[in-house]
Amino acid sequence: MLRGYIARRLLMTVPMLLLISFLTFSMMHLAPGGLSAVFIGARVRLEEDRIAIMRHYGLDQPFHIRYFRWLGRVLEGDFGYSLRFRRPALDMIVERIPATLQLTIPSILVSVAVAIPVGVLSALRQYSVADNLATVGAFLFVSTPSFFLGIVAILIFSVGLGWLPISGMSTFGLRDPTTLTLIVDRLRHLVIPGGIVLGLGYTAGLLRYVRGSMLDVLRQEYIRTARAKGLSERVVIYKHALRNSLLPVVTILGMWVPYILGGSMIAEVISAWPGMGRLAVDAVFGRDYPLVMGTLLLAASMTLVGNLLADVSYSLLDPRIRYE
Amino acid sequence: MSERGRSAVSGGSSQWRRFGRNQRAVVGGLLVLAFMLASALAPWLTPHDPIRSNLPRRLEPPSWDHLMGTDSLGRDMFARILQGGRISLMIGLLAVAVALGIGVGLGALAGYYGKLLDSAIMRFVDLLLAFPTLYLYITLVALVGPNIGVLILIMGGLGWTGMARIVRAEFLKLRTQDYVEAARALGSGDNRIIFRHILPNAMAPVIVATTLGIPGMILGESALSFLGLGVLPPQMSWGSLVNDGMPFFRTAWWLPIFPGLAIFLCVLSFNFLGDGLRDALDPRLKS
Repeated sequence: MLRGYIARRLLMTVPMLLLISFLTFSMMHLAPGGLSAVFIGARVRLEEDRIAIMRHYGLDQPFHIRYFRWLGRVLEGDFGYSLRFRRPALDMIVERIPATLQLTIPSILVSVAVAIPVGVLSALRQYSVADNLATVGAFLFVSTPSFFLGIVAILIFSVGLGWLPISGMSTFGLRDPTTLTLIVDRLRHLVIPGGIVLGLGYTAGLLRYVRGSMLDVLRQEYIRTARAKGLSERVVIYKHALRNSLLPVVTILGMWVPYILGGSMIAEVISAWPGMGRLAVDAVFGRDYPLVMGTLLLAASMTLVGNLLADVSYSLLDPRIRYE
Repeated sequence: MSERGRSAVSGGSSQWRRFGRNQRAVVGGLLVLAFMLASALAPWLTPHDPIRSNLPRRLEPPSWDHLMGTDSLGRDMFARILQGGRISLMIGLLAVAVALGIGVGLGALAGYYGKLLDSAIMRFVDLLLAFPTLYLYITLVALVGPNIGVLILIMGGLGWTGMARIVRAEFLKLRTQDYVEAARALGSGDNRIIFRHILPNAMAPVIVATTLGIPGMILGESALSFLGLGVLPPQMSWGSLVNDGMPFFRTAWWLPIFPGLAIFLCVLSFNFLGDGLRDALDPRLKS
C-alpha cells in the first residue's frame, strides 16, 4: 500500500516537471528579441554564429520541436551559457546552492525548535498572558517585511553595537584560524540573514500553525476518549495530542520550499550572501537570460521535490492518507 | 448555510456587533482608513514636494521642517513616503482586484461545472504554485521589464490561486443545496444560478480573502521594489524608498526606517481588519 502510494506520487511528479519546463520555455518567448536574445544575447554579432547557435539548440524549428530539443538539452544538464560569464549556466547555479542551504537549513531548524514548544504551550494555555504575547508577537512578525527586520538588525547589532558583521559569509583572512574560531565566525555571519531576516518570519508563521493545529487536535473526540478512559493529563497531551498536532508541521515545511527560497533571496541580497537567490537577482539586472531561466527551473524543481518529500513523509507518519 | 451567506451580504447587525467588539479589528480598520485618507490628501499634508531636490540640505536627520529627514538629493522624506504610499496602496488594491476577478471566475467555473474543467483548472493552480513566487516575479520582470502596470498584472495574474480554491470550495458546497436545486427546477439557467443564487452566498469568505490579500500584495510589491525590480524612479513606492536609502543607511538610518515602518503599519492594519472581518462574518473560519 505504502509503496504503491509513493510510486503513484512519484509518477505524478513527472508530468508536473514537464509542465513546469513547458511554461518556463514558453515564457522565454516574452523576452524582447525573443528566443535568440535569451540564448545568445546581443554580444554575438556575426550572423553565421547566431545561426549556428540557433541550430545547435534547434531554435530554428517550429515551436513543438524547439521545445523538445531544448528539453533534451536541459535533461542532459545543458542549460545554455551565461551571457555575461560565458560559463555553463547550470554549473554557476549549482555552485551557489550550498551557500543557500547553509543559510536556510539552520534557520529552519532553529525556527522549528522555537516554534513547536512555544506554539504547543500557547495552545495549552489558551488566552493566558503568555499565549497573548506569543500570538501578538507572531502577528507582528508576520506583518513585517523581512528586509526591514534585516536593516533594523544591521543598524542595531552591526553599526550601533558592533557585535555582528555587516555582511558576507565569513571573515576574509581571519588571523590564526582554528576550527573553533572558524565555526564561531561562520555562526556570527549567520545571525542576521539566517536568524533574523529568515528565522523570525518562519518562527512566527510556524508558531501560529502549531498553535492552531494543537487547538484543533485538543477538540477531537479521541482526546476526550483518552481522558475518559482515565489516562493522566500528561499522557493525553504528550502522547495523543502532541503527535497528531505535529503531523501537519511536516507537510508545511515541505510546502514552504517556495516561500523559503524567496525569503532566502531577500536575505542573500541584504547580507551579500553568495547563494542562488542573489545569483538570480544579479542575473536579472544583467539581463542574463540563460541564468535567470536556469534558476527559475531549478527553484521550481526544488519546490516539487519539497512537496513530494512532504507528501511521502506524511504518508509514512499518518497511515490514513494512503487510502484516499 | 444560506442564512449565514445572506446576512453577510446585507450586513446583518449581529456581524457588525461582533466586529465592533473586536478592538484589534476596529483599530485596524481605522488605520486602514487613515492610510487611505493620507494617500488621497497627500499633496495637502506637507508643504514639501516629493520630487524637487535641494542639494544643500541633503541627508538631514528628522527635524521640525523635515519630519522624516531628507534623502541623498535633499528631498523631503515625509512627502516621499506620502507619495510612495499612494503607489504602494494603489498597486496592492489593483493587484488584488485582478486576482479577485480571475480567482472568482475560475473558482466558480471549477466548482460549479466540476469534472474535466475542474481538474484542468486545479492542475493549473498546482502548476503555478510549483513556482517560487519571488523567482517567478523577477523572471517575468526580467523578460518584460519593470513598470507599475506590469507589476500589477504579474502579481494579480499569479496571485489568484488562493481565491480560486476558496470560491471553488464554496461552490462545491452550495451547488447541491436545496435552494439551488429549487432554482434549477424552476428553470433558472446556469448563469442565473451562478450569479444570483450561489455567488452572493459565497461572499463572506471572498470578502475576507480579499482583505487579507491586500497586505500580501503590498509585501510582494515592497520585496520586488526593495530588490530594485519593482517601482523605479522617478516614481516611488515604500519598497523602492527603502532601496533608495540602502547605500546611505549606515549613517542615515531614517532613509530605510520610515518607509519600512510605513509598510509594517499598513500591512498590520490590513491583517487586523481582515482577521476581524473573518471572525465577524464567519466565526467557523476562526483560526
